[in-house]
Amino acid sequence: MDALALLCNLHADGPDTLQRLKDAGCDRLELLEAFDLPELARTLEAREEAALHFLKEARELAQRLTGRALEEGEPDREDQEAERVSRNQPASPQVPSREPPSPTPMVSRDAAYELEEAFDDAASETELDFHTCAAPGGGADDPLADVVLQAWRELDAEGPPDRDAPALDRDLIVPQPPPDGSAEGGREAGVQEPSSLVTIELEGWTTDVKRAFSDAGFVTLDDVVAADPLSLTQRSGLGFTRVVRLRFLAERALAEGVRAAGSASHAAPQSGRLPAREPESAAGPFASPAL
Amino acid sequence: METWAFANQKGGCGKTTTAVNLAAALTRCDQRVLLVDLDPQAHATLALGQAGGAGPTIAQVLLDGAPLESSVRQVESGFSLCPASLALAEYETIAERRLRTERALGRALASVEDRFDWVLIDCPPRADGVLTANAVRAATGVCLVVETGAFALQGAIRARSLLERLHDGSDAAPRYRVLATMYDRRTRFARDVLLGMQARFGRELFDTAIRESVGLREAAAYGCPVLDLYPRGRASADFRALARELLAQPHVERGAGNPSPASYPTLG
Repeated sequence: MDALALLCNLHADGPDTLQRLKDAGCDRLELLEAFDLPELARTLEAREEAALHFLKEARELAQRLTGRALEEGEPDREDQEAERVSRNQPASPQVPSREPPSPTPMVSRDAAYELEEAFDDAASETELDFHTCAAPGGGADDPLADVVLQAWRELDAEGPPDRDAPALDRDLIVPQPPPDGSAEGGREAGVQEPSSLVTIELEGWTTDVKRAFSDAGFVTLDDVVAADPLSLTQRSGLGFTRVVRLRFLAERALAEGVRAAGSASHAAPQSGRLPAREPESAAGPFASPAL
Repeated sequence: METWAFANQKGGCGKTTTAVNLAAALTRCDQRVLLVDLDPQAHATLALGQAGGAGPTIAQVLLDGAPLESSVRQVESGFSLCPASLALAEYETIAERRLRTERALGRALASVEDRFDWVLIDCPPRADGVLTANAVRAATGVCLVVETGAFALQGAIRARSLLERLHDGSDAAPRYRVLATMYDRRTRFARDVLLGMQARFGRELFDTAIRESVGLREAAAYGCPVLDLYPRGRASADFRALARELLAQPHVERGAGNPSPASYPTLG
């Protein structure tokens, strides 16, 4: 790990920042001085204050590693830059007045995860304002942390809920199955009917597993996905780790709109009962494919 | 074929997580990858949802001389897995009564040299055992996985010297690299540990530090790599960067001389 990579790991977004700097022609710590502040801020995809802080950390790191300052002869440059930045900055912004807020939209699991990461980064000890939640090579116009903070302010403004009042019809952040590569997560609109356990075919969902869930009262994939893993474990008798994975596979299958396998040709038993136990194949569910 | 072993005597430092997710990242770079789970706890096998299946595992390959191809399974993420099982723990005991047991894995991997570009070996948390010795003898590179936590640096230095002693000098020594994991930039302590690691290991330390991420733990519970679960998260970005770093290294064949750390390229 060279000094520039170390700096990016210590005070920026790690490999993404390092890649941006190298793409801009900066592959050594010393070359950072060749950037002027606006250019550095653009390269880092951060505000100028953050870029100034980054430059300051670079100088301290260079001094620490080599025992000498990055540059000589311009001791006032940092002060000049700080003064210029403060002169150009507008007055401290008030909390902007906004239109009456619309209900907090449903957030997919992927977006919820990004919100969590953005909050973690915003809580960093340093004051850097890197858009760390942006995809590599891209940048968000509005930091996701602002979205979270705005949602919290709106909830605070509503005050504590009244216990006697009926439950509010409030959109909550509900984990959704991971997206299948399309822009939207969650279940596809076409899936209307719950998928019966009897006829589904999913990896790991053996007949014994289906029977265990059915006997415990979970007769469809939706029932399994709606239940929490601990409850599934306690009622079905299956191991917790196994249940977590089975539930994840069921969630993903529902998101992909898996229909009951051969539902046209294999009608579900009229009684709704599972077929008699079938012996597992000798190779087992994880048999190696032909090599 | 490049063979990399992920080792450290300290458990819970991220060896399995690194091996599994790096395998997925290299696969997305159009590489043919085989992940060998050499840990009797079979955590890599579990992390890919492949536990409990029938068929040979690496235990049968090492204990009974079964062909390696018979134990290889294809996983959903596109790479191949040679799973482990509890039976592998017997190998440490049996190895005392056999000759040249530390070369068994290398001989087995030679049979698949043309099928894969990369072999990643998840070692058990034991730097001086015969399983880790097998991995080090078979490897062209050894990655010491070090969490940026308490006692990490001291343990890493000790582990490094133990790993070097596993080589008896008859083959060319593998390259040694160090990877920082569970790095939490928010804390001054983690930054200080990273500084200490860079001071100690210099260019041997990978440019990429794997950051602490909830997604990594969730992905393991769901039995898939984090690149499948959260492809845009920072954990996925870190492993893609690590894969690029590995691919940029000078290629080394087994038995050839190894480049010095000063020539390791950095990202970009």
